[in-house]
Amino acid sequence: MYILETDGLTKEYSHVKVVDGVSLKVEQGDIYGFVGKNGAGKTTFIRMVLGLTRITDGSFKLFEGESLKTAKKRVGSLIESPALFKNMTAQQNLDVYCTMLGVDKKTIPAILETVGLSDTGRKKAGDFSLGMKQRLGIGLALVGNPDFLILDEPINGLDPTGIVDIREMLLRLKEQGKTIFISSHILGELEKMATRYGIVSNGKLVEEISAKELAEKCGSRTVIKVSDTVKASSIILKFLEGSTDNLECEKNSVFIKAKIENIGELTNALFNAGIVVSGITTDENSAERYFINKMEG
Amino acid sequence: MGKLIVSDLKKLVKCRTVWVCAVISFLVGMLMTFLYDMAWNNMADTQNYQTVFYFMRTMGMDSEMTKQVLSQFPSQVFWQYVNTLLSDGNIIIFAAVVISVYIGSEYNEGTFKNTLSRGFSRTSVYISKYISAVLAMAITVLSYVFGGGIVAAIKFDLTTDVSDEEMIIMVLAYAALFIALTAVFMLIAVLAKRTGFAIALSIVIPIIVSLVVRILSVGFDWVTNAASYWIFDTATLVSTLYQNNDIYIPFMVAPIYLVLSLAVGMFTFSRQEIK
Repeated sequence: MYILETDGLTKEYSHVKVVDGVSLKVEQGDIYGFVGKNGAGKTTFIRMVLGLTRITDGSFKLFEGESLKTAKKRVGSLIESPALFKNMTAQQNLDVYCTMLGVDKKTIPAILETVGLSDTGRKKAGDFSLGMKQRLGIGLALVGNPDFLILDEPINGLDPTGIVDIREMLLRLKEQGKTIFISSHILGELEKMATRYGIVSNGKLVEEISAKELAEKCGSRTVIKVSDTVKASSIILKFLEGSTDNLECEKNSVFIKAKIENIGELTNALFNAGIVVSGITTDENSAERYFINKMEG
Repeated sequence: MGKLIVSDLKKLVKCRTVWVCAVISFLVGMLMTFLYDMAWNNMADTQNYQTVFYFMRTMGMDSEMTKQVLSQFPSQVFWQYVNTLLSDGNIIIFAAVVISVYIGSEYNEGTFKNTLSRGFSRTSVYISKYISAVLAMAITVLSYVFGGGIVAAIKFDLTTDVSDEEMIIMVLAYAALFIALTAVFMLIAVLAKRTGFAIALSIVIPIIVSLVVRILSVGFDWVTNAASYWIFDTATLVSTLYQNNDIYIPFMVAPIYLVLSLAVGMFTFSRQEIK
Protein backbone atom coordinates (compact mmCIF):
# COMPACT_ATOMS: atom_id res chain seq x y z
CA MET A 1 0.00 0.00 0.00
CA TYR A 2 1.23 3.47 -0.82
CA ILE A 3 0.85 5.91 2.01
CA LEU A 4 1.73 8.90 -0.16
CA GLU A 5 1.56 9.21 -3.91
CA THR A 6 2.23 12.46 -5.69
CA ASP A 7 1.64 13.10 -9.35
CA GLY A 8 3.40 16.03 -10.98
CA LEU A 9 3.28 18.16 -7.86
CA THR A 10 4.36 21.68 -8.76
CA LYS A 11 4.69 24.95 -6.94
CA GLU A 12 5.43 28.17 -8.71
CA TYR A 13 6.24 31.56 -7.25
CA SER A 14 6.39 34.47 -9.70
CA HIS A 15 7.05 32.13 -12.63
CA VAL A 16 9.79 30.31 -10.75
CA LYS A 17 9.09 26.64 -10.12
CA VAL A 18 10.42 25.76 -6.71
CA VAL A 19 8.85 22.30 -6.96
CA ASP A 20 8.66 21.02 -10.49
CA GLY A 21 6.54 18.03 -11.36
CA VAL A 22 7.52 15.78 -8.46
CA SER A 23 5.99 12.32 -8.71
CA LEU A 24 6.94 9.91 -5.98
CA LYS A 25 5.51 7.07 -3.95
CA VAL A 26 6.04 6.22 -0.32
CA GLU A 27 5.25 2.65 0.54
CA GLN A 28 3.83 1.56 3.87
CA GLY A 29 6.57 0.77 6.34
CA ASP A 30 9.24 2.76 4.51
CA ILE A 31 11.56 5.28 5.98
CA TYR A 32 11.70 7.49 2.93
CA GLY A 33 14.69 9.82 2.82
CA PHE A 34 13.97 12.96 0.85
CA VAL A 35 17.37 14.32 -0.02
CA GLY A 36 18.39 17.62 -1.52
CA LYS A 37 20.49 20.71 -1.02
CA ASN A 38 19.19 23.73 0.82
CA GLY A 39 16.63 25.44 -1.38
CA ALA A 40 15.97 22.35 -3.47
CA GLY A 41 12.24 22.45 -2.70
CA LYS A 42 11.99 19.80 0.00
CA THR A 43 10.12 21.90 2.55
CA THR A 44 7.82 23.42 -0.07
CA PHE A 45 6.93 19.91 -1.24
CA ILE A 46 6.07 18.88 2.30
CA ARG A 47 4.04 22.04 2.89
CA MET A 48 1.96 21.29 -0.20
CA VAL A 49 1.22 17.77 1.00
CA LEU A 50 0.19 19.11 4.41
CA GLY A 51 -2.03 21.81 2.96
CA LEU A 52 -0.01 24.76 4.20
CA THR A 53 0.81 25.98 0.69
CA ARG A 54 -1.45 26.04 -2.32
CA ILE A 55 -0.53 23.67 -5.12
CA THR A 56 0.13 25.22 -8.51
CA ASP A 57 -0.24 21.99 -10.43
CA GLY A 58 -0.38 18.26 -9.88
CA SER A 59 -2.03 16.22 -7.18
CA PHE A 60 -1.35 13.83 -4.37
CA LYS A 61 -3.09 11.02 -2.51
CA LEU A 62 -2.75 9.87 1.06
CA PHE A 63 -3.53 6.32 2.13
CA GLU A 64 -4.52 5.37 -1.39
CA GLY A 65 -7.10 8.07 -1.94
CA GLU A 66 -8.67 8.34 1.49
CA SER A 67 -10.52 11.62 2.06
CA LEU A 68 -7.88 14.23 2.89
CA LYS A 69 -9.74 15.39 5.97
CA THR A 70 -9.63 11.95 7.58
CA ALA A 71 -6.28 11.02 6.09
CA LYS A 72 -4.54 14.01 7.60
CA LYS A 73 -5.68 12.97 11.05
CA ARG A 74 -3.44 9.94 10.54
CA VAL A 75 -0.47 12.13 9.66
CA GLY A 76 1.87 13.71 12.16
CA SER A 77 4.42 16.26 11.07
CA LEU A 78 7.33 18.42 12.06
CA ILE A 79 7.98 21.20 9.58
CA GLU A 80 11.18 23.21 9.79
CA SER A 81 11.55 24.55 13.31
CA PRO A 82 9.18 23.09 15.91
CA ALA A 83 6.17 25.29 16.62
CA LEU A 84 5.63 25.27 20.35
CA PHE A 85 3.65 27.27 22.86
CA LYS A 86 6.62 28.76 24.62
CA ASN A 87 4.87 29.66 27.85
CA MET A 88 3.64 26.10 28.34
CA THR A 89 5.47 23.04 29.60
CA ALA A 90 6.04 19.99 27.41
CA GLN A 91 3.09 18.28 29.05
CA GLN A 92 0.81 21.28 28.49
CA ASN A 93 1.85 21.55 24.85
CA LEU A 94 0.93 17.92 24.32
CA ASP A 95 -2.27 18.40 26.30
CA VAL A 96 -3.46 21.12 23.92
CA TYR A 97 -2.99 18.86 20.92
CA CYS A 98 -4.53 15.86 22.66
CA THR A 99 -7.61 18.02 23.33
CA MET A 100 -7.67 19.25 19.76
CA LEU A 101 -7.47 15.73 18.32
CA GLY A 102 -9.71 14.10 20.90
CA VAL A 103 -6.90 11.88 22.12
CA ASP A 104 -6.75 10.45 25.63
CA LYS A 105 -4.33 12.44 27.79
CA LYS A 106 -3.05 9.19 29.28
CA THR A 107 -0.92 8.84 26.16
CA ILE A 108 1.13 11.94 27.10
CA PRO A 109 3.59 10.22 29.49
CA ALA A 110 4.35 7.57 26.84
CA ILE A 111 5.01 10.26 24.23
CA LEU A 112 7.28 12.16 26.61
CA GLU A 113 9.11 8.90 27.33
CA THR A 114 9.50 8.17 23.61
CA VAL A 115 11.07 11.55 22.88
CA GLY A 116 13.11 11.64 26.08
CA LEU A 117 11.39 14.57 27.78
CA SER A 118 9.87 12.81 30.79
CA ASP A 119 11.83 14.81 33.31
CA THR A 120 11.28 18.37 32.06
CA GLY A 121 8.73 19.01 34.80
CA ARG A 122 7.54 22.61 34.92
CA LYS A 123 10.15 23.98 32.56
CA LYS A 124 8.55 26.08 29.88
CA ALA A 125 9.10 25.13 26.26
CA GLY A 126 10.53 28.58 25.63
CA ASP A 127 13.44 27.71 27.95
CA PHE A 128 14.23 24.41 26.21
CA SER A 129 17.46 23.86 24.34
CA LEU A 130 17.26 23.42 20.58
CA GLY A 131 17.49 19.65 20.91
CA MET A 132 14.70 19.56 23.47
CA LYS A 133 12.52 21.71 21.23
CA GLN A 134 13.14 19.34 18.33
CA ARG A 135 12.18 16.39 20.53
CA LEU A 136 9.02 18.10 21.68
CA GLY A 137 8.21 18.92 18.07
CA ILE A 138 8.48 15.23 17.24
CA GLY A 139 6.40 14.47 20.31
CA LEU A 140 3.66 16.75 19.03
CA ALA A 141 3.80 14.92 15.72
CA LEU A 142 3.25 11.64 17.59
CA VAL A 143 0.03 12.79 19.27
CA GLY A 144 -2.83 10.61 18.11
CA ASN A 145 -0.49 7.74 17.18
CA PRO A 146 -0.36 8.69 13.49
CA ASP A 147 0.42 6.06 10.90
CA PHE A 148 2.48 8.42 8.78
CA LEU A 149 5.13 10.81 10.02
CA ILE A 150 6.47 13.63 7.89
CA LEU A 151 9.60 15.10 9.43
CA ASP A 152 11.35 18.04 7.84
CA GLU A 153 14.98 18.27 8.96
CA PRO A 154 14.32 16.72 12.37
CA ILE A 155 17.98 16.44 13.35
CA ASN A 156 18.99 20.00 12.51
CA GLY A 157 20.87 21.62 15.33
CA LEU A 158 21.09 18.48 17.44
CA ASP A 159 24.27 17.36 19.15
CA PRO A 160 25.65 13.89 18.30
CA THR A 161 23.87 12.27 21.23
CA GLY A 162 20.61 13.86 20.19
CA ILE A 163 21.06 12.70 16.63
CA VAL A 164 21.61 9.12 17.76
CA ASP A 165 18.57 9.31 20.04
CA ILE A 166 16.34 10.58 17.26
CA ARG A 167 17.63 7.98 14.84
CA GLU A 168 17.00 5.16 17.30
CA MET A 169 13.56 6.54 18.05
CA LEU A 170 12.67 6.64 14.37
CA LEU A 171 13.88 3.09 13.87
CA ARG A 172 11.72 1.98 16.81
CA LEU A 173 8.74 3.77 15.31
CA LYS A 174 9.35 1.99 12.03
CA GLU A 175 9.32 -1.31 13.87
CA GLN A 176 5.95 -0.31 15.32
CA GLY A 177 4.65 -0.14 11.77
CA LYS A 178 4.85 3.58 11.11
CA THR A 179 5.80 5.00 7.76
CA ILE A 180 8.22 7.89 7.94
CA PHE A 181 9.02 10.53 5.36
CA ILE A 182 12.10 12.41 6.41
CA SER A 183 13.73 15.23 4.55
CA SER A 184 17.30 16.10 5.29
CA HIS A 185 20.55 17.25 3.83
CA ILE A 186 22.56 15.27 6.40
CA LEU A 187 23.24 12.25 4.22
CA GLY A 188 25.26 10.25 6.70
CA GLU A 189 22.35 10.01 9.11
CA LEU A 190 19.80 9.20 6.44
CA GLU A 191 21.97 6.35 5.21
CA LYS A 192 21.68 4.73 8.63
CA MET A 193 17.90 4.53 8.59
CA ALA A 194 16.28 5.17 5.22
CA THR A 195 14.91 2.29 3.22
CA ARG A 196 14.24 4.39 0.15
CA TYR A 197 15.43 7.73 -1.16
CA GLY A 198 14.10 10.49 -3.32
CA ILE A 199 16.78 12.83 -4.56
CA VAL A 200 15.62 16.30 -5.45
CA SER A 201 17.55 19.03 -7.20
CA ASN A 202 16.26 22.48 -8.21
CA GLY A 203 12.71 21.38 -7.50
CA LYS A 204 12.87 18.27 -9.65
CA LEU A 205 12.91 14.69 -8.47
CA VAL A 206 16.12 13.45 -9.99
CA GLU A 207 15.94 9.85 -8.85
CA GLU A 208 14.15 7.45 -6.58
CA ILE A 209 16.24 4.59 -5.36
CA SER A 210 15.92 1.95 -2.68
CA ALA A 211 18.57 1.56 -0.02
CA LYS A 212 19.44 -1.85 -1.41
CA GLU A 213 19.94 -0.48 -4.90
CA LEU A 214 22.03 2.32 -3.48
CA ALA A 215 24.23 -0.13 -1.60
CA GLU A 216 24.70 -2.15 -4.76
CA LYS A 217 25.64 0.96 -6.68
CA CYS A 218 27.90 2.33 -3.99
CA GLY A 219 28.97 0.26 -1.03
CA SER A 220 32.49 0.42 0.17
CA ARG A 221 35.16 0.98 -2.49
CA THR A 222 38.89 0.48 -2.72
CA VAL A 223 40.67 3.36 -4.40
CA ILE A 224 44.02 2.74 -6.06
CA LYS A 225 45.97 5.71 -7.40
CA VAL A 226 47.96 4.60 -10.43
CA SER A 227 50.06 6.12 -13.19
CA ASP A 228 48.03 4.51 -16.01
CA THR A 229 44.34 3.88 -15.28
CA VAL A 230 43.58 2.12 -18.59
CA LYS A 231 46.32 -0.46 -18.24
CA ALA A 232 45.66 -0.82 -14.51
CA SER A 233 41.94 -1.44 -15.12
CA SER A 234 42.58 -4.38 -17.42
CA ILE A 235 45.03 -5.93 -14.96
CA ILE A 236 42.63 -5.47 -12.05
CA LEU A 237 39.75 -6.97 -14.04
CA LYS A 238 41.81 -10.07 -14.84
CA PHE A 239 42.89 -10.27 -11.21
CA LEU A 240 39.36 -10.01 -9.83
CA GLU A 241 37.79 -12.05 -12.64
CA GLY A 242 34.95 -9.59 -12.34
CA SER A 243 32.89 -7.46 -14.69
CA THR A 244 33.45 -3.85 -15.68
CA ASP A 245 30.52 -2.93 -13.44
CA ASN A 246 32.83 -3.23 -10.49
CA LEU A 247 35.31 -0.69 -11.79
CA GLU A 248 35.24 3.01 -12.25
CA CYS A 249 38.08 5.22 -13.37
CA GLU A 250 38.48 8.85 -12.55
CA LYS A 251 41.55 10.92 -13.34
CA ASN A 252 44.42 8.82 -11.97
CA SER A 253 42.35 6.65 -9.64
CA VAL A 254 40.68 3.31 -10.10
CA PHE A 255 37.67 2.65 -7.90
CA ILE A 256 36.97 -1.01 -7.20
CA LYS A 257 33.58 -1.99 -5.78
CA ALA A 258 34.38 -5.64 -5.39
CA LYS A 259 35.99 -7.12 -2.30
CA ILE A 260 39.76 -7.58 -2.66
CA GLU A 261 41.03 -10.66 -0.87
CA ASN A 262 44.75 -10.07 -1.40
CA ILE A 263 45.66 -6.48 -2.10
CA GLY A 264 49.35 -7.38 -1.94
CA GLU A 265 49.17 -9.70 -4.93
CA LEU A 266 47.25 -7.08 -6.89
CA THR A 267 49.79 -4.38 -6.27
CA ASN A 268 52.58 -6.81 -7.29
CA ALA A 269 50.72 -7.50 -10.51
CA LEU A 270 50.44 -3.79 -11.19
CA PHE A 271 54.10 -3.22 -10.39
CA ASN A 272 55.20 -6.06 -12.64
CA ALA A 273 53.21 -4.44 -15.46
CA GLY A 274 55.17 -1.25 -14.98
CA ILE A 275 52.34 0.67 -13.31
CA VAL A 276 53.29 2.96 -10.46
CA VAL A 277 50.89 2.65 -7.49
CA SER A 278 50.96 5.87 -5.47
CA GLY A 279 48.21 5.12 -2.96
CA ILE A 280 45.60 2.62 -1.79
CA THR A 281 42.61 3.74 0.35
CA THR A 282 39.13 2.57 1.25
CA ASP A 283 36.32 4.96 0.36
CA GLU A 284 33.35 4.60 2.76
CA ASN A 285 31.50 7.66 1.57
CA SER A 286 30.61 6.61 -1.87
CA ALA A 287 26.89 6.92 -1.16
CA GLU A 288 27.47 10.54 -0.20
CA ARG A 289 29.30 11.12 -3.45
CA TYR A 290 26.46 9.44 -5.30
CA PHE A 291 23.91 11.78 -3.75
CA ILE A 292 26.04 14.83 -4.34
CA ASN A 293 26.56 13.92 -7.98
CA LYS A 294 22.84 13.47 -8.40
CA MET A 295 21.95 16.67 -6.58
CA GLU A 296 24.40 18.67 -8.62
CA GLY A 297 23.22 17.07 -11.84
CA MET B 1 -14.92 21.70 15.98
CA GLY B 2 -15.86 21.51 19.64
CA LYS B 3 -12.48 20.02 20.45
CA LEU B 4 -10.78 22.75 18.47
CA ILE B 5 -12.61 25.40 20.49
CA VAL B 6 -11.71 23.74 23.78
CA SER B 7 -8.04 23.55 22.78
CA ASP B 8 -8.12 27.23 21.81
CA LEU B 9 -9.64 28.07 25.18
CA LYS B 10 -6.76 26.21 26.83
CA LYS B 11 -4.35 28.33 24.80
CA LEU B 12 -6.23 31.43 25.92
CA VAL B 13 -5.96 30.47 29.58
CA LYS B 14 -2.23 30.05 29.16
CA CYS B 15 -1.75 33.23 27.13
CA ARG B 16 0.18 35.47 29.48
CA THR B 17 -0.51 38.63 27.51
CA VAL B 18 -4.26 38.31 27.96
CA TRP B 19 -3.95 38.18 31.72
CA VAL B 20 -1.31 40.87 31.96
CA CYS B 21 -3.51 43.16 29.88
CA ALA B 22 -6.46 42.26 32.08
CA VAL B 23 -4.55 43.33 35.17
CA ILE B 24 -3.34 46.52 33.52
CA SER B 25 -6.80 47.43 32.24
CA PHE B 26 -8.21 46.73 35.74
CA LEU B 27 -5.67 49.09 37.28
CA VAL B 28 -6.15 51.73 34.58
CA GLY B 29 -9.90 51.53 35.13
CA MET B 30 -9.35 52.24 38.81
CA LEU B 31 -6.92 55.04 38.04
CA MET B 32 -9.26 56.70 35.55
CA THR B 33 -12.02 56.67 38.13
CA PHE B 34 -9.81 58.35 40.68
CA LEU B 35 -8.84 60.97 38.13
CA TYR B 36 -12.43 61.58 37.03
CA ASP B 37 -13.46 61.90 40.68
CA MET B 38 -10.76 64.48 41.30
CA ALA B 39 -11.71 66.40 38.17
CA TRP B 40 -15.39 66.45 38.96
CA ASN B 41 -14.85 67.47 42.54
CA ASN B 42 -12.95 70.47 41.23
CA MET B 43 -15.63 71.43 38.76
CA ALA B 44 -17.50 73.55 41.26
CA ASP B 45 -14.77 76.08 40.49
CA THR B 46 -15.84 77.91 37.31
CA GLN B 47 -12.34 78.08 35.89
CA ASN B 48 -11.85 74.34 36.25
CA TYR B 49 -15.27 73.74 34.70
CA GLN B 50 -14.24 75.74 31.66
CA THR B 51 -10.93 73.86 31.47
CA VAL B 52 -12.74 70.53 31.43
CA PHE B 53 -15.30 71.91 28.98
CA TYR B 54 -12.64 72.96 26.48
CA PHE B 55 -10.75 69.74 27.03
CA MET B 56 -13.80 67.71 26.11
CA ARG B 57 -14.40 69.93 23.08
CA THR B 58 -10.90 69.30 21.83
CA MET B 59 -11.52 65.57 22.24
CA GLY B 60 -14.23 65.94 19.58
CA MET B 61 -17.46 66.41 21.47
CA ASP B 62 -19.71 69.18 20.16
CA SER B 63 -20.67 71.94 22.57
CA GLU B 64 -24.26 70.77 23.13
CA MET B 65 -23.18 67.21 23.84
CA THR B 66 -20.38 68.44 26.09
CA LYS B 67 -22.75 70.56 28.14
CA GLN B 68 -25.17 67.65 28.38
CA VAL B 69 -22.44 65.28 29.57
CA LEU B 70 -21.01 67.73 32.06
CA SER B 71 -24.43 68.46 33.48
CA GLN B 72 -24.73 64.83 34.47
CA PHE B 73 -21.27 64.23 35.81
CA PRO B 74 -21.34 66.34 38.97
CA SER B 75 -23.88 63.87 40.32
CA GLN B 76 -21.40 61.05 39.58
CA VAL B 77 -24.12 58.47 39.40
CA PHE B 78 -22.74 54.95 39.40
CA TRP B 79 -24.50 53.40 36.42
CA GLN B 80 -23.92 56.45 34.29
CA TYR B 81 -20.29 56.21 35.17
CA VAL B 82 -20.16 52.53 34.16
CA ASN B 83 -21.55 53.69 30.84
CA THR B 84 -18.71 56.19 30.67
CA LEU B 85 -16.20 53.41 31.26
CA LEU B 86 -17.67 51.23 28.52
CA SER B 87 -17.49 54.07 26.02
CA ASP B 88 -13.94 54.96 26.98
CA GLY B 89 -11.44 54.72 24.12
CA ASN B 90 -8.89 53.09 26.47
CA ILE B 91 -10.87 49.85 26.34
CA ILE B 92 -10.54 49.75 22.58
CA ILE B 93 -6.77 50.19 22.78
CA PHE B 94 -6.45 47.39 25.36
CA ALA B 95 -8.68 45.16 23.27
CA ALA B 96 -6.63 45.90 20.15
CA VAL B 97 -3.44 44.85 21.92
CA VAL B 98 -4.94 41.67 23.38
CA ILE B 99 -6.53 40.42 20.15
CA SER B 100 -3.46 41.33 18.09
CA VAL B 101 -1.13 39.44 20.41
CA TYR B 102 -3.46 36.48 20.83
CA ILE B 103 -3.85 35.97 17.07
CA GLY B 104 -0.46 37.31 16.02
CA SER B 105 1.43 34.95 18.31
CA GLU B 106 0.14 31.96 16.34
CA TYR B 107 1.77 33.46 13.27
CA ASN B 108 4.94 34.48 15.11
CA GLU B 109 5.39 31.06 16.74
CA GLY B 110 4.19 29.15 13.68
CA THR B 111 1.67 27.15 15.69
CA PHE B 112 -1.05 27.48 13.08
CA LYS B 113 0.80 24.95 10.93
CA ASN B 114 0.46 22.26 13.61
CA THR B 115 -3.30 22.70 13.63
CA LEU B 116 -3.82 23.03 9.90
CA SER B 117 -1.61 20.06 9.05
CA ARG B 118 -3.92 17.78 11.04
CA GLY B 119 -6.82 18.08 8.62
CA PHE B 120 -8.85 20.87 10.19
CA SER B 121 -10.42 23.20 7.65
CA ARG B 122 -9.23 26.77 7.61
CA THR B 123 -12.79 27.94 8.25
CA SER B 124 -13.15 25.90 11.41
CA VAL B 125 -9.74 27.02 12.66
CA TYR B 126 -10.68 30.66 12.04
CA ILE B 127 -14.09 30.40 13.72
CA SER B 128 -12.64 28.59 16.70
CA LYS B 129 -9.97 31.22 17.10
CA TYR B 130 -12.58 33.96 16.81
CA ILE B 131 -14.73 32.46 19.55
CA SER B 132 -11.80 32.34 21.95
CA ALA B 133 -10.83 35.89 20.89
CA VAL B 134 -14.32 37.10 21.89
CA LEU B 135 -13.66 35.65 25.32
CA ALA B 136 -10.31 37.45 25.43
CA MET B 137 -12.13 40.69 24.57
CA ALA B 138 -14.70 40.06 27.30
CA ILE B 139 -11.94 39.50 29.88
CA THR B 140 -10.26 42.76 28.89
CA VAL B 141 -13.43 44.86 28.84
CA LEU B 142 -14.83 43.46 32.08
CA SER B 143 -11.49 43.93 33.85
CA TYR B 144 -11.52 47.61 32.92
CA VAL B 145 -15.14 48.04 33.97
CA PHE B 146 -14.64 46.12 37.23
CA GLY B 147 -11.56 48.14 38.10
CA GLY B 148 -13.33 51.40 37.53
CA GLY B 149 -16.58 50.07 38.91
CA ILE B 150 -15.08 49.05 42.24
CA VAL B 151 -13.71 52.55 42.86
CA ALA B 152 -16.92 54.11 41.54
CA ALA B 153 -19.01 51.94 43.85
CA ILE B 154 -17.03 53.28 46.80
CA LYS B 155 -16.87 56.91 45.77
CA PHE B 156 -20.03 57.56 43.79
CA ASP B 157 -23.73 57.67 44.47
CA LEU B 158 -25.18 54.19 43.96
CA THR B 159 -28.65 55.41 43.06
CA THR B 160 -29.62 55.51 39.48
CA ASP B 161 -32.13 57.18 37.31
CA VAL B 162 -31.49 54.68 34.55
CA SER B 163 -34.34 52.28 33.91
CA ASP B 164 -33.76 48.53 33.69
CA GLU B 165 -34.81 48.66 30.06
CA GLU B 166 -32.25 51.35 29.27
CA MET B 167 -29.50 49.41 31.05
CA ILE B 168 -30.32 46.18 29.22
CA ILE B 169 -30.43 47.91 25.83
CA MET B 170 -27.14 49.70 26.46
CA VAL B 171 -25.40 46.52 27.67
CA LEU B 172 -26.63 44.62 24.62
CA ALA B 173 -25.45 47.44 22.35
CA TYR B 174 -21.98 47.40 23.92
CA ALA B 175 -21.87 43.60 23.73
CA ALA B 176 -22.79 43.64 20.03
CA LEU B 177 -20.18 46.30 19.30
CA PHE B 178 -17.38 44.55 21.18
CA ILE B 179 -18.19 41.23 19.52
CA ALA B 180 -17.97 42.99 16.15
CA LEU B 181 -14.78 44.80 17.17
CA THR B 182 -13.21 41.44 17.99
CA ALA B 183 -13.85 40.34 14.40
CA VAL B 184 -12.35 43.59 13.09
CA PHE B 185 -9.20 43.30 15.21
CA MET B 186 -8.87 39.65 14.25
CA LEU B 187 -9.10 40.55 10.57
CA ILE B 188 -6.36 43.15 11.05
CA ALA B 189 -4.17 40.56 12.83
CA VAL B 190 -4.68 38.03 10.02
CA LEU B 191 -3.79 40.63 7.40
CA ALA B 192 -0.75 41.80 9.37
CA LYS B 193 0.51 38.28 10.23
CA ARG B 194 2.83 39.72 12.84
CA THR B 195 1.98 40.80 16.38
CA GLY B 196 3.74 44.17 16.36
CA PHE B 197 2.37 45.17 12.98
CA ALA B 198 -1.13 44.07 14.01
CA ILE B 199 -1.01 46.18 17.18
CA ALA B 200 0.19 49.18 15.24
CA LEU B 201 -2.54 48.87 12.62
CA SER B 202 -5.26 48.24 15.19
CA ILE B 203 -4.39 51.40 17.07
CA VAL B 204 -3.50 53.67 14.17
CA ILE B 205 -6.42 52.90 11.86
CA PRO B 206 -9.14 54.03 14.32
CA ILE B 207 -7.17 57.14 15.25
CA ILE B 208 -6.50 58.20 11.67
CA VAL B 209 -10.04 57.64 10.46
CA SER B 210 -11.47 59.47 13.48
CA LEU B 211 -9.07 62.34 12.84
CA VAL B 212 -10.08 62.52 9.18
CA VAL B 213 -13.75 62.51 10.20
CA ARG B 214 -13.21 65.36 12.64
CA ILE B 215 -11.42 67.44 10.06
CA LEU B 216 -14.03 66.80 7.38
CA SER B 217 -16.94 67.40 9.77
CA VAL B 218 -15.84 71.04 10.04
CA GLY B 219 -16.99 71.58 6.48
CA PHE B 220 -19.48 68.76 5.98
CA ASP B 221 -22.30 68.09 8.45
CA TRP B 222 -23.09 64.71 6.96
CA VAL B 223 -19.62 63.53 7.94
CA THR B 224 -20.46 64.13 11.60
CA ASN B 225 -23.49 61.90 11.24
CA ALA B 226 -21.51 59.32 9.29
CA ALA B 227 -19.04 59.07 12.19
CA SER B 228 -21.71 57.20 14.15
CA TYR B 229 -21.32 54.36 11.67
CA TRP B 230 -17.55 54.03 12.10
CA ILE B 231 -17.54 51.25 14.66
CA PHE B 232 -14.65 52.64 16.72
CA ASP B 233 -16.64 55.85 17.23
CA THR B 234 -19.96 54.06 17.61
CA ALA B 235 -18.54 52.23 20.61
CA THR B 236 -17.84 55.56 22.32
CA LEU B 237 -21.22 57.12 21.49
CA VAL B 238 -23.73 54.54 22.74
CA SER B 239 -25.07 56.71 25.53
CA THR B 240 -25.44 59.74 23.28
CA LEU B 241 -27.11 57.67 20.59
CA TYR B 242 -29.59 56.36 23.17
CA GLN B 243 -30.44 59.86 24.29
CA ASN B 244 -30.92 60.97 20.68
CA ASN B 245 -33.19 57.96 19.98
CA ASP B 246 -30.56 56.58 17.60
CA ILE B 247 -29.79 53.45 19.64
CA TYR B 248 -30.66 51.35 16.58
CA ILE B 249 -27.33 52.42 15.06
CA PRO B 250 -25.08 50.13 17.16
CA PHE B 251 -27.42 47.20 16.45
CA MET B 252 -27.17 47.98 12.76
CA VAL B 253 -23.44 48.71 12.66
CA ALA B 254 -22.28 45.72 14.71
CA PRO B 255 -23.68 42.92 12.52
CA ILE B 256 -22.42 44.59 9.34
CA TYR B 257 -18.87 44.92 10.64
CA LEU B 258 -19.05 41.42 12.15
CA VAL B 259 -20.16 39.70 8.96
CA LEU B 260 -17.83 41.67 6.70
CA SER B 261 -14.80 41.18 8.96
CA LEU B 262 -15.43 37.47 9.38
CA ALA B 263 -16.01 36.97 5.66
CA VAL B 264 -12.92 38.88 4.57
CA GLY B 265 -10.87 37.33 7.37
CA MET B 266 -11.84 33.76 6.50
CA PHE B 267 -11.22 34.37 2.82
CA THR B 268 -7.80 35.83 3.53
CA PHE B 269 -6.88 33.06 5.96
CA SER B 270 -8.01 30.36 3.52
CA ARG B 271 -5.60 31.61 0.89
CA GLN B 272 -2.62 32.39 3.08
CA GLU B 273 0.61 30.48 3.04
CA ILE B 274 1.09 29.35 6.59
CA LYS B 275 4.70 29.32 7.74
